[in-house]
Amino acid sequence: MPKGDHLGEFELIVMLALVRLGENAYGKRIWEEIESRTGRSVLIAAVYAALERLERKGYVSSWVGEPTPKRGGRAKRYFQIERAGRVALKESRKMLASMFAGLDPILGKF
Amino acid sequence: MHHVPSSFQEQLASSFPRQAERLLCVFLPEADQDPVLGDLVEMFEDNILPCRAPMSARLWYWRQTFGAIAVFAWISLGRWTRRLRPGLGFTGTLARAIAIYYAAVISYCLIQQSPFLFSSLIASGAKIKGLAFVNGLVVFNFKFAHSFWPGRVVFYEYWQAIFYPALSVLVCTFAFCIVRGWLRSFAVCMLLVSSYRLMPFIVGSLALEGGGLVDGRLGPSFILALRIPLALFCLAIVMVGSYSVFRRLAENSGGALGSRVGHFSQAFLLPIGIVSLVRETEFLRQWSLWLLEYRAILLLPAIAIAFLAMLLSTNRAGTVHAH
Repeated sequence: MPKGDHLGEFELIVMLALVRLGENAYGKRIWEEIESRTGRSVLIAAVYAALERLERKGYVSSWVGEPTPKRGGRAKRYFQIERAGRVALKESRKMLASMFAGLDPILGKF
Repeated sequence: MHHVPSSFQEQLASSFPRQAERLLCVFLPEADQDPVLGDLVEMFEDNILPCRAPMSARLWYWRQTFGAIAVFAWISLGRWTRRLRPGLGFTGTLARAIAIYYAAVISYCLIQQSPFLFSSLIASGAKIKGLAFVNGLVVFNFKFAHSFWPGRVVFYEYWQAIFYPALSVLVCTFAFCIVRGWLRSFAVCMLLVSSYRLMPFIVGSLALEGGGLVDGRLGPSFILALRIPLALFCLAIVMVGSYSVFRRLAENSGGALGSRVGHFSQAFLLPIGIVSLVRETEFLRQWSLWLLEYRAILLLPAIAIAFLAMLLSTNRAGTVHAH
């Protein structure tokens, strides 16, 4: 994987949220998923910035849905993971697992 | 559980701030407006309002608004740069453009045998000051500091340097920093504010944060007290110049805000604009004299055009592709 194509921490979180949400992944749902699971206070713009980067890397694609009255007639932008994104996720998991391997006795002390 | 509004004021307080939405309409690229504004409304009504006091919920909306403006300004810059030169990032394009420009200027000066000569260099501690000459004529005096952070060079004072060569040297320094991979985010700030006169303020502030001034006579509070009014003044210049922002504000508020902005600009911004114009005219006069004398390549118009193009393209940018 070339330098720059690795997933950053927040990008990884966003990608995992996309995996969890499946076809129903749009800005608000992704934001909710991240806030509820990580307990972090996140800006919606930060989510979009991460998605923009992921889209540029070819890991994610997006399309605009139909406008809904609940959102004041505003359309949703849905996101989904592409094949390259799945590969990058697997790589990240492998890398993290390798870094964490054997650290349980040490980390357990903290 | 939903908070049920009982009076008009309460009803007003429990709805999201419309001014914030108008601001987002102005600053967000068109392609991103619907998804972001829709998400914010949905989040505000479903997640924030039920569990917070109305005022706190509105503050939350404002925080999201300012965050979105900053983040999407950055995103738009990136899109704009990629359209300009695919494959290069914003800092990469900027660094290359500046490097090419300065290569041309330096070559020209060398051919004309009139390169900038720096003399009277005084290095004391982490500070260097001196005078710059072109053909025996003092074009500016300068002071700059280094070593606030290891390996970084920072100008902190060039207020007297209103001449074009001074700006050239300043930009050249930043180009050098950018090429070396330093101050990347600062380079973006530099273009965003558009007014080069804000630069010393920003850099000065950064330098203060980075370790304080070496010069014992000027304390941080003195510098900040000097720079903040200056920065406000410069911001006013930028505001007066930002006609497109005003126009979009007026469009998005159905005319109501437009007239308010009009009165505001007449009462406050116009006089400042005129003063600024006089100052700028003086600057342009000096610059033109220098230009006539040395026939340098234009940089300022190029920056102005680039900035205008950036402003205009901000709201046209969009990479959403339909499936």
